[in-house]
Amino acid sequence: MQKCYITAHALVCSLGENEVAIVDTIRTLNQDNYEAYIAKILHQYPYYHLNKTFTSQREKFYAVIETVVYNCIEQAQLSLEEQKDLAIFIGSTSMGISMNEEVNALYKNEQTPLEFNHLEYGVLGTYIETLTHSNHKALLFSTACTSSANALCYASKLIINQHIKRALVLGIELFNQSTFDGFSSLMLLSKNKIYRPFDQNSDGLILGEACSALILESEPKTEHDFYYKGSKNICDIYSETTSNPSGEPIFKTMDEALQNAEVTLSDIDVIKAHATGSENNNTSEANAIALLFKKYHCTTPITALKPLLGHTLGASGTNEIALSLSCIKQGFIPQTLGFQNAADGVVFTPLTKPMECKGRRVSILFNFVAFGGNTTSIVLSNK
Amino acid sequence: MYIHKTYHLVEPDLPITTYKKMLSSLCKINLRRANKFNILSVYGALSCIENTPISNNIGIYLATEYGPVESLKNVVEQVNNPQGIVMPFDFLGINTSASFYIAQALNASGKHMVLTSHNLSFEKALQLAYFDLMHHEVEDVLIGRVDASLAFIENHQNYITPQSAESFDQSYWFYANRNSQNALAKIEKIEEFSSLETMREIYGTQMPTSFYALLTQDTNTKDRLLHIAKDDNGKCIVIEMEKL
Repeated sequence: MQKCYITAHALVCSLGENEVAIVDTIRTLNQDNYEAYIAKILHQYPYYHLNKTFTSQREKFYAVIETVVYNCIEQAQLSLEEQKDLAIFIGSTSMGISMNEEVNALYKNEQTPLEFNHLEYGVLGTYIETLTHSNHKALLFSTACTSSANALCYASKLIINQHIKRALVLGIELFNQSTFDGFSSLMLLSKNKIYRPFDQNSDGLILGEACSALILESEPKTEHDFYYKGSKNICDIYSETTSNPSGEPIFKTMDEALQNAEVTLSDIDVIKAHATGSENNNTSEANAIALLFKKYHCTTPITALKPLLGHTLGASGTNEIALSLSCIKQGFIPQTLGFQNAADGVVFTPLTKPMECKGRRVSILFNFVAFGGNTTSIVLSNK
Repeated sequence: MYIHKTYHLVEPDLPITTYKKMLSSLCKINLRRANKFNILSVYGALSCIENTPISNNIGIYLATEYGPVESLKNVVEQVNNPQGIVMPFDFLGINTSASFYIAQALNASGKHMVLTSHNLSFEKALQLAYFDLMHHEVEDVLIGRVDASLAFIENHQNYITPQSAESFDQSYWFYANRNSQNALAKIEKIEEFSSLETMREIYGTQMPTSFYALLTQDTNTKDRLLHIAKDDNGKCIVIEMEKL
């Protein structure tokens, strides 16, 4: 059967606008200087903002998309003809709501005749179709925090089954007041402003903005390219905003992803946990991981990346995968910054130091859990 | 892929209370604070499969172009109001609750998602459902196209293509599985084309047609039917089906 390789990845986030800047920043961080670092970046606002300033939300939205898309196309060395073959998959929670907030503010001040920038979600897809000259109609996934992860899974399966030749998967989440205030209204945001997933002092999540893109193709571009091994997506109907605290649905998702990937837990070098830092996620995902360890009679290292990026919601799938691939290329898997002591019920200690993997091939189980019970696990490997 | 059940609702801009009342006759799920989009979604989906046994591993694919506009408007207006407060239910209302509510009402733990692809949202959702069903990722599928009327938005024609089109409350749903027995129709093929010209090389000159109308129109013989949908740039999807 044909495979599906990630032949290019690009990320724009609070850590930087390109791979070198992002990895260099991560390399400077450790448990000792993390609190000072996070205090500095969250100084003005409790949010992981992009470093660059833009003249408008509209400019920002399209500029970050262009950056990651062009970066990916260049990395993958796609010809114009190959770009036309790109099927486009997009995952986002807030889509372009920041542009609507901006236009609505102008409308209230009678500076524009229209109340909104757009109402139809399709504008984002149409823009990327134009940018890439794609012959395909873009498809947007809206499954909350699993949006771009689900987009990646479908793109991969469609390539493996030869329905499409190649794909661009894009995740985008940019700052908007609606989302920030919404999470605040649900009382899910950290008050201490230190991201500490699975830690006994964890007190909530910290949101962030980032945009990333992945190019998927049936042939690798380098011998170290990661490929999609398998995934699973299920619905946990326990509650709209919280996972089943028993961890059963998340466990089932991870377990079936391993089965679909035809591997066992001992083949997995690290689990990238969803790890939002919310009380419910700390409990449910930790219980799920404990169930996984119990079933397979072994353990594997765990890490969490949100202390580096913030919680980028629907874009967290491609964002955290792109970040992982960049770090692995430089020979390490990032540690869980902010972790000191395990919260009640957490039976593992997440990585507290980077896991060196230079010259080694690795398999990773990525976990994503969303509002609306949408739960996705993906196995990627370059073994 | 065999279609067994269909349901459609098309109404002008009716008040949400009307739909809530209709929904309460179908199920006891508590959607007191849900927006019209979510109510339309759940009502349409449950109406489609009323009295139909479904699997626990059903896939739910909800296509929309505008989504929960009502909640979006509320939230955006609140954040631009110095005294405004974003309410949790409005915030959750813009975050893809609709397909979750359907899954919860059906007690189904398969997959569920909200999808958008501009003028081809329904066809792309059907394409994914077809893929999942044919690859045994799910046992059966429920595919819907839902949008609430935009009539309450000032100058709403500016957000609609074509601008002359009327905006309705609409909720179309189809239930399908791999079982041919007593099916209404069989989906034979779903093909995507980059332009109308390339499509016409294969299918000749065809006019865009409503999927629902094709499926429910009265025909005497087993017909091969083509549903064709296109976007503003001529990209199109052809769904070939056979009435049974």
